[in-house]
Amino acid sequence: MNNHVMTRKDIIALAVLLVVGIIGLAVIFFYKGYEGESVLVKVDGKVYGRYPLDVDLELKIEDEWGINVIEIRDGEARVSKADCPDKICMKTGSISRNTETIVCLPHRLVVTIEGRDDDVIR
Amino acid sequence: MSRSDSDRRSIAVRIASDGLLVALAMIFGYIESLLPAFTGIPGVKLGLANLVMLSGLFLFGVPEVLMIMILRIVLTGIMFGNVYSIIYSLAGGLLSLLVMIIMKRIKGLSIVGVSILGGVSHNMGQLIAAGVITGGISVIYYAPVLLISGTVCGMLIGIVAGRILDHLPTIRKEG
Repeated sequence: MNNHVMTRKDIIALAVLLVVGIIGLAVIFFYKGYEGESVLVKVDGKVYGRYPLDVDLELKIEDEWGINVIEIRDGEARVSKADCPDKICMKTGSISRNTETIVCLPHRLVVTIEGRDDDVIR
Repeated sequence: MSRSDSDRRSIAVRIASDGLLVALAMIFGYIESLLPAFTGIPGVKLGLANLVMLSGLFLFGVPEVLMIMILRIVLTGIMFGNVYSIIYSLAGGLLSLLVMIIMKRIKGLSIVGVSILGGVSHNMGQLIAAGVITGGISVIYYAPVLLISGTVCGMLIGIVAGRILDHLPTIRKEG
């Protein structure tokens, strides 16, 4: 058996998936091209609040799932504190461009940057 | 040896080998969490545990691999995670396994191709679960990154699994 030899169909699958992925990245990069305007915070799928990116703010969200602190400073938003186990939301870092998102899955929290003409995307 | 004796023996061998594979998959999952290169972007991972599932799919049967996978996810979730990490892992694992079972039946696709599509569908399954849990479509912006990482990592795992199978073609017959 030559299990480690890639067949033609393998390579076609590889190429198609990579091309689709790269096109997707290009599309998102294109949409992300401009600075966002506001920060949309959602908890459990419901809108928690919408905050302007150009006003510094420290927002503590404490609910049944845990604690997250969202910090808006110098036109960037980040999760500065969280008591979730993996801290992926904190590791994501700062976001400022349109459609950029921080997700804290254990706490059902989504922080998204919104732009001026979001209707284009939604 | 009478028939019932050999049946009993094969059941014992099966329990032992399945237990080993569950343990191996769990250890792979743990080793993977230690690799610093794969902790930055959520969902981007090598999929070492899938090495066990993929090899199992080609060496044993679907029911066994399904059982090994569910055991691995539930046990890992109970020990290191929570309800959400179990749901999240199951969404990726089950979709991935389903796609790999279908792809394995397609002629001309080797274990590498099966692994690539399994890796991508694993990531997509987790993305869908993330979308459902967070109740929003904003997670879709992770899709291209996860698609590319699933493809590349799936290929690597597929190549390694192919090598393993080359060297273990008759492991089951000895049971």
